[in-house]
Formats: sequence, C-alpha cells, structure tokens
Amino acid sequence: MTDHYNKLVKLVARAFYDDDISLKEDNNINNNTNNNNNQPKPGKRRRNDNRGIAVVILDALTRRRRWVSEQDLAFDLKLNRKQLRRTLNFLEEEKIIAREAVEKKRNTFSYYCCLDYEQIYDVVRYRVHGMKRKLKDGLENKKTVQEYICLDCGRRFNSLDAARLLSLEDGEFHCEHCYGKVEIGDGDGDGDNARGQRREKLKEMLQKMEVQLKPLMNQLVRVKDLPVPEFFTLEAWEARSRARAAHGDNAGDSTLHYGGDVQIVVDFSGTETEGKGEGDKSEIEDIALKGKYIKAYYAALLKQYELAEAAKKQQELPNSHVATYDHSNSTHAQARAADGDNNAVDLTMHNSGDFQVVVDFNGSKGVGDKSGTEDIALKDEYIKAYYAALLKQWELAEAAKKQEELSNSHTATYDHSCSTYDRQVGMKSKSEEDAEEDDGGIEWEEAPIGGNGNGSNRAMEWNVQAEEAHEGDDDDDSVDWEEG
Amino acid sequence: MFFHIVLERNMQLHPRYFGRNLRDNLVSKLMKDVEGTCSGRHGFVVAVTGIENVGKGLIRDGTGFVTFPVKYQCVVFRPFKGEILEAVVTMVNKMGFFAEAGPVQIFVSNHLIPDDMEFQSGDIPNYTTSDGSVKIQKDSEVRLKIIGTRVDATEIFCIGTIKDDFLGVINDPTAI
Repeated sequence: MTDHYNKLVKLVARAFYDDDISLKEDNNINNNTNNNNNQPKPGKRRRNDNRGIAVVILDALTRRRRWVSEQDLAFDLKLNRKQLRRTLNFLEEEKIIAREAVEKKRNTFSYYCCLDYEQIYDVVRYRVHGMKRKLKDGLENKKTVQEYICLDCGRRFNSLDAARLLSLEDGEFHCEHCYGKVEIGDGDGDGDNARGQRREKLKEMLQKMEVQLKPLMNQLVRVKDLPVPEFFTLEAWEARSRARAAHGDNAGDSTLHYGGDVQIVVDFSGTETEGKGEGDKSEIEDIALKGKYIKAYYAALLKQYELAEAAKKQQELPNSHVATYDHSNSTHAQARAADGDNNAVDLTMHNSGDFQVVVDFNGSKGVGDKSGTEDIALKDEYIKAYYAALLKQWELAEAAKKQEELSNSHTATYDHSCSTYDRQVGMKSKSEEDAEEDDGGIEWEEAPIGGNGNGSNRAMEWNVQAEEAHEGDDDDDSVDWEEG
Repeated sequence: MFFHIVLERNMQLHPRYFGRNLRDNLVSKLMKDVEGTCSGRHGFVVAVTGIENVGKGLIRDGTGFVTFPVKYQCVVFRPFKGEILEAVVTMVNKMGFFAEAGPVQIFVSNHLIPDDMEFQSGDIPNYTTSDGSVKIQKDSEVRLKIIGTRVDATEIFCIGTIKDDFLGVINDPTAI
C-alpha cells in the first residue's frame, strides 16, 4: 500500500511540482491553475534555478518513508540546506509533507519532515477538481459578467450596472455620463470571434489535461480503497526507534521487518485481488490467494539462490510446516512460533526471521478488507512464471542437489495451495534472515521496494533480482517505477 | 433567501401621538417606515412581524419629538450568489432582459440566455427559440440563478443566468 501511495507521490511530483517552485512562491496563485503551463518568464532574472528540486526531494522521501532529519536529507541529496528548506517550506504549504521541529539544545532546533500520505490524497484530488472546474466554467461561460463600452466616451460598464444604464425612453442602454450608446464589449477584444477562440483554447487545454493527468487519476482510483500507510507523529516514531534500539537485535529486527514485509504482501493484494477479509482467514483455497502465495514463494525461492548456507535447515522447517498448516492461520502462527523456538537453541537468527514472517501473513490478510475476485488468467501467469523459475533453478550448478529436492517437493505439491504457502513461509524466513545478516536496518527500507511490481512481470523481476543479489536495490526502485 | 431576524431602530414620534394609543401609533409608524426598505447588510425588509420591546423614550430638546429605541422582529429578503429564484420579466431588450423577484431586480444578459434563443425585436421584444416553442417576453415567469450581486448601502441589484439545467421559462403568459 505504501508503494501505491509512493507512486502517487511520484506522479504528483512530476505533474505539479516539476517546474520552478520559487516562481510559485512569488505569485502564490497557482492553487487552481494549470501549473503545467506555468513557464518561467524569460525576462525575469532569478538567483538560482530550482526546477525539479521538489521532484528529487519527494522521490527521496518516498524511498525513506519515515521521518527524516532535514540535515540528513540535505546531506544525502547534496543540496544546499537553505535551498532544501525553502522547497520543504513550499511543500509543507502545499500540504504534501508534514514537518516538526525538535529542540535539541536551547534555541537550537532540528527539523524533521515526512510525507503526509493521507493529506496528499485529499490535496491532489482537490487540486484536480479545482482545475477541472475552472476550465469547465470558462468553457460554459457560466460565470461571465458581460462588459459594455460606451461608444462615445469609452467608459466601461458591466452587467451589474445594467439598471443604471437602462434608459426608460427607448429601452436601450445609454451611458450614464454622456448618454451615448453603449455596446457590448469584451475583456480581450470584441465580439464572438475572440470568445470562440478562447473557447477553443480552453477546450484544448481541458482535453490535454485529461490525457496528461490520466496516470495520476488512475493511481488515485487505485489508492482510493487502500488504507493509508501508518503515519506516526515524530514523537511516536522516535519512541519506536528508541524501543527498537533498546531491545537489541532480535526484537528490533523483527519490528523492522514487520513493517517491510507487510508492505510486500499488501502490495500483491493491491495489484491483483485485494486479499481477503480478516474474518475468513481459514479459506486458503482461494485461488487468488494461492497465486499470491506462489508469487511470494518465488520471491523467497529466488532469493535463496544467493544463499548456499543454511539450506539444509531450510528444508527441515517447511516439512514441519506442512503438517501444521491445515489449521487456521492463528494456530498456524502459533505452531510456527513454537517451531522457531525449537530451533532457537542453535539458530537464534533463524528464530527471529521465522517469527517475523508469520506476522507478515496476518498482516497480508488483514489489510485488504474486500473479498477477493479470482483472476484465473493471473494464476496461469504465475504458473508459467513458476516453471520459468524452476528452469532457471536447474541451471544453477551450486547447491544443485538441494535445489532439486526442493523443487521436486514443490511440483508435487503445487496444486495444493497449502504446501506452496508453507514453502513460502520457510523460504521467506530464510531470506529475511539472511538479509538481516547482511545489512540489518537498511534491508527494511529496500525489501518492500522489491515487492512493488505487479502482474506477469513479477517473475522476471525476481529473476533479475536474483542475479543482482542484494546490491541492486536502487535498480529495483527504478524498475518498479517504469513498470507501473 | 428569507430570514426572520430582530432589528433595532430609533423611532421619532411626534408629540401629537402621545396618549393611550402611543404604542399602536409607534408600531404603525414603524411598519410604514421600515417595510419595503433595503439595507445592504440585511437585504429587503419584507414585513414586520412583532415588537420585541420598546425602550424608554427620550424627549428631544426644542422639538418635543420623542425618540424610542424599538426592537422588532421582521422578515428580510436577501439575494445571494448561486441562489435560484423565480422572477417575472419586466423588460426585454437586445442586451438581455430584466426581471423582478419581489423587490429585487435582476438582469440577465444575452450571453447568459441559452444560445438557441434569439432576440426578436418588434412590438413586443422577446427571446424565442428557433422552433418558437419557448418565448421570453414581458410578464413571462422565469426561473433563474443569481451569479452576481451588487450591494450598495440602500440598493441590491443582481445579475442572473438561465443557461443551466432546469432554468428558463416556467410559465408563458401567452399560453394561458
């Protein structure tokens, strides 16, 4: 869900804030106008060109998706702090970001900022609505106040003066000063010709706007029913991160992963079938869900390639899961947790990883409250992609034997959604565990980004990822962006 | 829009009205003075509906007039932008037409009359559709929407449009 919102933010940034912001600050009238046409005036000299900075900043914030100290942000983006602050001020005024100041020392504040997803959604809708309304009103001439010009003395009147202009002698309009004849005049010129031209221009502009804002509107529709990503106040967020730090690696990591993983699965539900309601957790037979699990399974499977060690333990885990799976999710989760505990003696890291994935499942179901619509075509795609992945698997020389065993078991149990589901759990836990070993906190940021794609491209994407291993995080980001 | 509000006014009463009927005289004078007037702030005073209270009178030096502060309830009519009104056409010319909704005068310019209605000059100037089915002339009743008001201290003037859904002629005098 965060990914959808992030995409929205990115689209908004490009649609409305890709030109020079300092100009807007100057005249500050652009709330309802079509900003795409707001080109900087050639004659005007500006100290520095701010074009595009808002886009860069917003993109950076979507990658961080939490409170960011402005100092850090300036450092990361290699921006002048003053320039950054000015842009942020503007964005805050536009209600795109939330900011808070924290007094570190006496009279020394440090500022934090964060995307305010809930408000962005409303602000953008309002803005688009305003743009449309203005153009349409202009088109239909609804709000025009007719202008009149005295032919003799050139005085201008409008229809609000009509009562005074009206002469009772002949029922015509006469100038109240010189009693000359009054004719219809137009603001820009005269007659219907100018009016017609203006209409044409407005119509064209409206059409252009509709075409250009289409991706944005689609994204708005997509986001409409999704819950807004959690948006803590700075205080709450800091408390969380403090708690994380205090609890040490294990607990801390699990909370971190909680956020990340939920995002992966939730994204699936958003792209295809909206997941399931919280009530019917036990209906695992749902085909859509199955497809989701298969997808998630790839994620885990392909990641696994990168990891030679711990493969054996991995196999033990899923086996035990198969047995317990038929129960409802909650019991499943408990079994899983117990399972993890058993392993805990020799593998603490594993334990934490496993546990976290269980949480992840609960999250995935809870989020989309709509009952899913099954998409058989999608399912087929997954199956196809699944085999592609299998093929790929064969090619890998190292750990070939282990892989083979794994895949055998998968093909055997493929029709059975439960088992794939299970397998996914196992794999996932493992991959997460490894991620933890690799780069701890950073992984929190990057993992969800990988889960951003949708549909048939998914398998491909994961393949790519598998080859790139962990370092290709930034690439993932860009891939996602183009894809959607 | 109509409002029922309480207003206050200082009434000057000639000494000849002092007596048993002082209060009645005061009220009738108030009605005569106030009803039909227009203030930019409250709109047109349509009717006085009651007296809230009459304060203590103050005798003016030299004249013998007495000033009573009177609080009274009244119905006022205040046109607003966007309001839909039904009005009677009072005058048609090529610039548009004038209509009256009670005390308020409204002008509809010819750009705010639907495009398919053409001005027909002649004995009875009017706006008519090409097929002649709808005609706006003097005494026609139209439903219109106020799109602008001009409020002076003692005068309110509006401009309206009939170029919208469900607006236009609602009763044609020639058809009756």
